[in-house]
Amino acid sequence: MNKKVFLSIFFLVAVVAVGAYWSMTTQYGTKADNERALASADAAVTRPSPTLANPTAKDIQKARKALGKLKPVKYYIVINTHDNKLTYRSEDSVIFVGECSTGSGGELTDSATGRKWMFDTPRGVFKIKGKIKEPWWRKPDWAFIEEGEAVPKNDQERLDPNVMGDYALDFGDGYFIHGTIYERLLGVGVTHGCVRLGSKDLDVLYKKVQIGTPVYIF
Amino acid sequence: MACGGDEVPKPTEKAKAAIPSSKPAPNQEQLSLEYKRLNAELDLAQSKKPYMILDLKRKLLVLKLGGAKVWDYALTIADADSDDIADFGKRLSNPESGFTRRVKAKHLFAAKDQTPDSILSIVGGALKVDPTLMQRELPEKFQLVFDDGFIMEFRSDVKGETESTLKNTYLTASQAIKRLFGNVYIVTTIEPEAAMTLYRAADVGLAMMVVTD
Repeated sequence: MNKKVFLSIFFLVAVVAVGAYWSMTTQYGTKADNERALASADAAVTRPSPTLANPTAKDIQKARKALGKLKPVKYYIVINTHDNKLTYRSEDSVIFVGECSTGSGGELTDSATGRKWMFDTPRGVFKIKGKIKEPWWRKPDWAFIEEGEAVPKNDQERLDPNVMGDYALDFGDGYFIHGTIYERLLGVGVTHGCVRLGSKDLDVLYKKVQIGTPVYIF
Repeated sequence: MACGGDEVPKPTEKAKAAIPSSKPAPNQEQLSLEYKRLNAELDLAQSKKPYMILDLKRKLLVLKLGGAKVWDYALTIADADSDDIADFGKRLSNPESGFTRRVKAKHLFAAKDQTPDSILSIVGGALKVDPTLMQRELPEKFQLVFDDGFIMEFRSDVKGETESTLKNTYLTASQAIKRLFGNVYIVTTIEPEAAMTLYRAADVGLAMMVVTD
């Protein structure tokens, strides 16, 4: 076979093979990774849709009511961890938007004990469980380990009155929306999981929200 | 002498019953469609994971979580009124084909870093955080590929760096071929920050429902 023809065919096959590989790979992994993600997404649907042969207008009303029950009654908080924005809104209008800082996604491992921490803001649906004025931070173990300091035995040594700002809103599992002394870093994901807000926005938000206000984090 | 304006007699009760109402009662097919659509969204809302609603009539893309709207964007769709998109909308809101589509893949063609690396390395050093975790990319162009071959392409006015010329060329060529065989492709412009949110939020597996009315 002519050498030129052979090289052309070889080159074409190589391009097709590379292209086929690329088509299986996305920014986020191989085809196998994507199939796992799709399977996990399907598993998240917790019940099969009811199948009524001939649904009536009443059945539709029931389904609408069930969907309506899940929605917030009026105002709710949305935290967008992708662009670090906190919005206080209703279904149809935005009351205000503030820059915030959410979790960095960093990890910390204690070399002495092997304990690990992941610094992410949790995603999902939450509610405001508490409102605190002049909060003090009770530093957890990781705050000392991160600085290379010994974890104190005395609880008083964990308390810091200066870093959480004027207010804190508890949304469960040890996570808060609170103030910060690092306002210049708002808009960047730098926290250990809590959501930091500027003092002016926090002041407005604290006065508006009530216990039970839904918080949606995505 | 009466100058016109004869009074129209009020209809009797019998006559009122005979007057058809202005809206026809929905037929069983419409009721079934509506019922299945509501339950499809109920499933997604109860999953506590984000999902999207693409409203082709209002040209709106909405991200929801637990049934609540968490983000939305008014789309500027090229060729929005074309027959292809109208047919596509009918196809996607047909109960036989299922109401929900999922993101199968996403492709980033070009992007620009949101924050200078030099600043992030200073911040990262001070806070002991990996600077790459704090960086956000502003996409210039990206695609969401859904099962059944539907592609949504988003373009912003950011001037970014190309991710991979070879990969971009291959994707463009292979998608052009697939469009000849019926795959639908929607192109829309989007502002950079909205593009960043959508690109980051639309992970593989994210569900989308299409609404056409």
